[in-house]
Amino acid sequence: MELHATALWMSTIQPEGEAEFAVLLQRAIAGEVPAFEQIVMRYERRVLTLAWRLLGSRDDAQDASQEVFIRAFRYLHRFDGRRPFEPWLVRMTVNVCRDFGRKRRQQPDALPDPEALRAASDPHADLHSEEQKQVLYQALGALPDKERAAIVLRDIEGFSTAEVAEILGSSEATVRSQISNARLKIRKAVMRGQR
Amino acid sequence: MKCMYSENDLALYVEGDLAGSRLREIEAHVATCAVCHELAAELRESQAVFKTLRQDTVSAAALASLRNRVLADVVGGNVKAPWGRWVYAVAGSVFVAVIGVGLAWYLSRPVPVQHIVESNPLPPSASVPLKRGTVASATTSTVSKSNKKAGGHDPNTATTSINVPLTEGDGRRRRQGVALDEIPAEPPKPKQLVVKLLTDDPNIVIYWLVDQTGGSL
Repeated sequence: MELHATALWMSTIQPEGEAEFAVLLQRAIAGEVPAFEQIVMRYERRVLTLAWRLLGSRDDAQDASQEVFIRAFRYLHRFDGRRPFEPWLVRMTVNVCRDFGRKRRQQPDALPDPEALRAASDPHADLHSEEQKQVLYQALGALPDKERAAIVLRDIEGFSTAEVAEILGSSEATVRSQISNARLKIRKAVMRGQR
Repeated sequence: MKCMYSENDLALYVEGDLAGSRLREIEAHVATCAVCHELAAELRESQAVFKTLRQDTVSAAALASLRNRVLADVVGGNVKAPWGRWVYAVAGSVFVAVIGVGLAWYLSRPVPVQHIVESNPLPPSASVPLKRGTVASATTSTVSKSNKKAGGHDPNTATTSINVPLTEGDGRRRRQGVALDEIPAEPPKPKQLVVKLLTDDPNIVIYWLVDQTGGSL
């Protein structure tokens, strides 16, 4: 089991300059703020976008991401340096967002702020695509927490089913059930939006 | 859908989340079943639309704002030390342990045993009919009937059965036949006594529960 878990984690994307990152990590654990700032800069985009997709609210995503990095700084000494850092941070993000979701139940109209979101590779974004995004975010927000986390990690963030199971602390069978349910619900929402 | 494969199977199939024989089975089924073929096509389309969310990203301003907030907390010392909670946890555990040990000691300490021996056994008491209207308040304690038959009294057995002979007008409490061979350090708790009142009607016997202080129970 331990070998399997290690193999799973080692199969994930390793950041370039692994040795450099290990040094950076040690400096951050020692309390060097500039070293921790570099870690924040490396992962802030991933954490903030993931929190945004999980929470569906800009303000909540900012607060949750802040909490993620604060927790990371606090518990860096617990991190197993033989494993990749990013899945550890993603797991922390999912957990923090789950806590935030419990505290502040998402409002039905709490959608990502279109001004804050920008379509990086879609210069021809028109009204139709914006409406489509609204439909998608609404459908995403209507999913149960676990289904939302599973489908965002699997279909948006690009983790494998095994990695999603590891991050969520579930079995692969459970994750497959969650993402298949979520895909069917998204399909219904998209089909409704197109009519 | 009334097929041998569920919608969930198809939802996994369209994204390649099935493997081996299961994948080949569904692949062959979708090729022949129009309903499943259409559903699979819809799922592929909705998945393609859903994945457009990957293009959404956050603005540089939002990232800068986040970074500034995090660093302000870290530099400002707002990050609690990781051992902060442990201090409270350890203090709480010590407190509970002290209370537990004290309670265990209190419950396990030896309790002084009170031995009651008969120093001057009385002959079986004679019951005197009680006239109507007479107030009887005398109490006493004697050995139990079984002990009398055995010719003695078990010193470890406290008297439980009281037979109260009453004489007319006798309101004094008489203490007979029982002595303490050991005086407990603490005043003993009032013992429960049973007073048996005999009336001139043999069919009417009155039992009265009292404590040693004379109070009714």
